[in-house]
Amino acid sequence: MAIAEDYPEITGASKPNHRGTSYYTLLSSGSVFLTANAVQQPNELVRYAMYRETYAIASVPNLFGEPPAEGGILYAILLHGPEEEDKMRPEFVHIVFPNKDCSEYVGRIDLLLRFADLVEELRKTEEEGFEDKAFPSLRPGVEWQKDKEEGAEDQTG
Amino acid sequence: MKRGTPGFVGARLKEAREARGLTATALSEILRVTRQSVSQYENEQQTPRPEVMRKIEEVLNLPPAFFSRPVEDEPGDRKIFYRDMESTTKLARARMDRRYLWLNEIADYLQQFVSFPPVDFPRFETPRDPTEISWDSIEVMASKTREYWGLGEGPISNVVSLLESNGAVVARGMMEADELDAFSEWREWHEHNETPYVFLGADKQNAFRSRYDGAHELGHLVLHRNIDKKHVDNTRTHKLIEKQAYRFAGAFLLPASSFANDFYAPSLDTFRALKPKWKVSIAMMIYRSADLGFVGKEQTRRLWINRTRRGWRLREPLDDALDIEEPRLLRRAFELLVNEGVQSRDAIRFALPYASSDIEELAGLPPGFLEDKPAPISLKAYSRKRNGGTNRQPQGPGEIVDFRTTGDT
Repeated sequence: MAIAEDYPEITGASKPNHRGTSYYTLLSSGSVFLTANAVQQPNELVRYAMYRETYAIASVPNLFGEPPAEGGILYAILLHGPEEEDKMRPEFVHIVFPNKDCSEYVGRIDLLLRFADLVEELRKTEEEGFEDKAFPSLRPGVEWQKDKEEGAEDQTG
Repeated sequence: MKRGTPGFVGARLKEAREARGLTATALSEILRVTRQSVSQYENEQQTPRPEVMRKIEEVLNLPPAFFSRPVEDEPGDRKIFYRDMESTTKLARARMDRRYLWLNEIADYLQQFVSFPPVDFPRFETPRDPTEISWDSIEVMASKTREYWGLGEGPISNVVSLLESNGAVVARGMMEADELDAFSEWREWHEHNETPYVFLGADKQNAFRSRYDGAHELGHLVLHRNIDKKHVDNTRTHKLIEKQAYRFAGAFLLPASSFANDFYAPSLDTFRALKPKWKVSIAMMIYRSADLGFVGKEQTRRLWINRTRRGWRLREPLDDALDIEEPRLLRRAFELLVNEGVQSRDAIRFALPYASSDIEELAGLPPGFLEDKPAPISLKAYSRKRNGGTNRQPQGPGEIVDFRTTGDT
């Protein structure tokens, strides 16, 4: 939705699924439609959803860079999943193009690879850092007392 | 004449029993004495026989010195922000009250030798009556708190460290009560200014939850510093101040504008994807999205239903992907005392007559720190020393340090 606000050529809409039990976001720009899904592996097929199949059936993937024919759409899915070692980071973010029954992906764009520089930049500026000042310091009197005691020991020795 | 325990202080037995979460009846059963005997010990109508005294020390895991310490005046009208006043059992509250006083005593003891970072919390002109605090003003105060501490609108890297760096004394410990997640207080300490104390529950072992708890307590410390204690004790207003702290935590951890930029769909998958970045739970993001009007009432209801259907009510995805933020200030203070030779472990145990494990838990020390056994040697620290060659103070017992001292050539 925020993407759609920044780019007027993109439309974002929150839509209920067919049974009205949950909502998904549809981003569209002209005849290109995109929904998003979290999966464990980049090759994992997304679970069945009637809305996805509806878009996939209407989709005419043309992987040669030509726009869909008049009245046709191009349906894509944004697949993402966390890293195994550090789940705070995405392991992969791919745009895939499903076939008519969503039983396989006929095309794929690896966004982390394609925009590697941008990804690195974004990762650097993720958190609000601050100086760790949680360090206690010895009170001046205590240091003095310690020195005095050490001196007293020296004298007795 | 009956043999008793000279110097026995009955109030200390009650304190110890409550700190261990035991009723007088339960303790009497363990000690194999009557309930009346326990009551008489606590009221000093009689003192325990030596063999009963030994059993008391063993069962309550406290040294003999604890039971002969004079009792200082109980702090008076303290304003402690407990999470759930109604469902928390009296026993659980009493347990935490006692342990919290132990924490206070540990911090007081340390401050004889060390200075903690100065308290640097923003102070707003908040009303004495919480009903006069509006939701909008909470959003503004959360935003101004970030601004005061020089933070932008991104995710907070470490909430506990942020609190400690600005002068709060933070502890983590087992609450042993589901309803008690955390509590906080502005505590007056002798002639010094008030110090914020935050006690975080360690029971749930969930880093996301704990970060929220820290932000929630920050909300109390910022929003409710001026409110009258009667509002904390009143059921109706207590619920309101809890909601206000909840709203503050959401606004502090998820600022409206930057969270909006990341909020690309009102779905659980979206929240799951955002969880690692913002380090807040999916549940928290649902609440926040509803507070900010990103999702409508029906959508919010569906999100909760689907969260339950996915089995995320008790355990969310990625819950184990983040390390719990541990307090470090008290631990560092103890390490400083020991490593600098200001106080020996014996002297610490003598001055603080609790079980070593109690002090270690409350101060975030590694188990066994206060015992005189040598700690394992940190080879990692040694290699860092060799590579870095800094004059850093040793960080714990058993760490290898350079032979050379300042001034050696």
